[in-house]
Amino acid sequence: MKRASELHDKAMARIDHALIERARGKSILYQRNLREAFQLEREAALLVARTDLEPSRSVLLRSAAALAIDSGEIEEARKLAARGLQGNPPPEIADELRATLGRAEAELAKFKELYPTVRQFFLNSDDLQHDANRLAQIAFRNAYRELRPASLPAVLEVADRVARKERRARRDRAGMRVASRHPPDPDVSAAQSRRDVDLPEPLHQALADFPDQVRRCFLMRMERLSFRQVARSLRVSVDSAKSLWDEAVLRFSNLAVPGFQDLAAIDEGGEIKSDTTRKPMVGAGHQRG
Amino acid sequence: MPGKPGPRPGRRAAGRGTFPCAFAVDWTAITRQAIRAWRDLQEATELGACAVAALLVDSLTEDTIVERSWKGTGFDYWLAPKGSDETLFQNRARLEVSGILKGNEKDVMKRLAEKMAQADATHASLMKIVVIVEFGSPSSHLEQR
Repeated sequence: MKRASELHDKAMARIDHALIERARGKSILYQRNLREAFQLEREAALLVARTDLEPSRSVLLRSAAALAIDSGEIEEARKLAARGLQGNPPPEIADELRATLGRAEAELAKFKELYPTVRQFFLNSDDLQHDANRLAQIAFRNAYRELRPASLPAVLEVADRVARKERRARRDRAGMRVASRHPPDPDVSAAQSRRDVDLPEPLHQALADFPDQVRRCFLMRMERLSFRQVARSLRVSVDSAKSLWDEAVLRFSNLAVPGFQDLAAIDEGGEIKSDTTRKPMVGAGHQRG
Repeated sequence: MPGKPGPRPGRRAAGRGTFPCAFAVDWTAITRQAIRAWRDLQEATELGACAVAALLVDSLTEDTIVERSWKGTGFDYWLAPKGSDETLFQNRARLEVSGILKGNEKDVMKRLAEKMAQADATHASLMKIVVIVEFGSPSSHLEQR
């Protein structure tokens, strides 16, 4: 009981924080605090659910179920409310549990009705179709948190946002994988870049003498990372990443390294252009802005 | 409210119900920030009523608020005798609060009847204190069941 009481107190404090954030208009922080409150209250409720301590048992389960609904965890709300009714709750708490259960079941029915259309939205995307089920569920949960009751156009609008966020996250993860192949240690980095980055050997040799950040920036750009991804990996600003790139280009130009002009030709042919912010202009510098 | 005429601090209020009384409603200076933060008058009325109810229960009864739970629309407050060492919701009474921004005695009694009817309809087993707070007069009604 003591542990449950502590968890419950923490959950209520989280709700206080959530309500303050809502009053400030910070909806993301409001939802985050509410989700944390739900996790804490659920844990407290499940500890007491094994006992026959009424009304604590049913009040905690009702409170956790209400928080589950507010957090968009509808299936969880249904389970918690149903479990509350399995005990011996006081009549008024039983009424509230039944109301919560009814609300959760109505939402689940709506979910089943709209789900195929939302899933199809993700199946229509070549890059997201393998994750359609998971993403459709995220879209529903987010839509429910933001706008209740959620209509199909509203859920599809949220689904579009979920798709964009997923693509951004995937790009970031890919960027971090590439960045990890270019550690600060020049020996390790040089060996790995020879294996992973297809450059003429004189360029690899010249790169070994470049300052660490300049070398890593250049190699990451050769692996098609955006300036934003390079900046994040090197823990510098985007402008600094662009300056590092400029320096690399300048050094290659001054050294007249064999193969560099070929690289410029490759670039002009459009080979290096994964960047969402700008295309690397090897040998010609680039415009800021 | 700055710049607008309205109730002044120290206004006398009638307390009716199980514990008839009279009390003064007092408050600190209201800032523009506070006005902006409480533009939702329904929310302000509900939470203001909770604050008044908490003070009334604490002053007039043996009980005080010791616990809260969440019911979706807001907190559910739970009462216990002062100094009670029970945990969670064991041997607690429930506090039911309702706020009216501007009304009369009739509105207060109607709201009270609704709350008490809800309690009776469910053959309620929990102890309950119902408090209705009306901010226009201002007045309150506290009923213990």
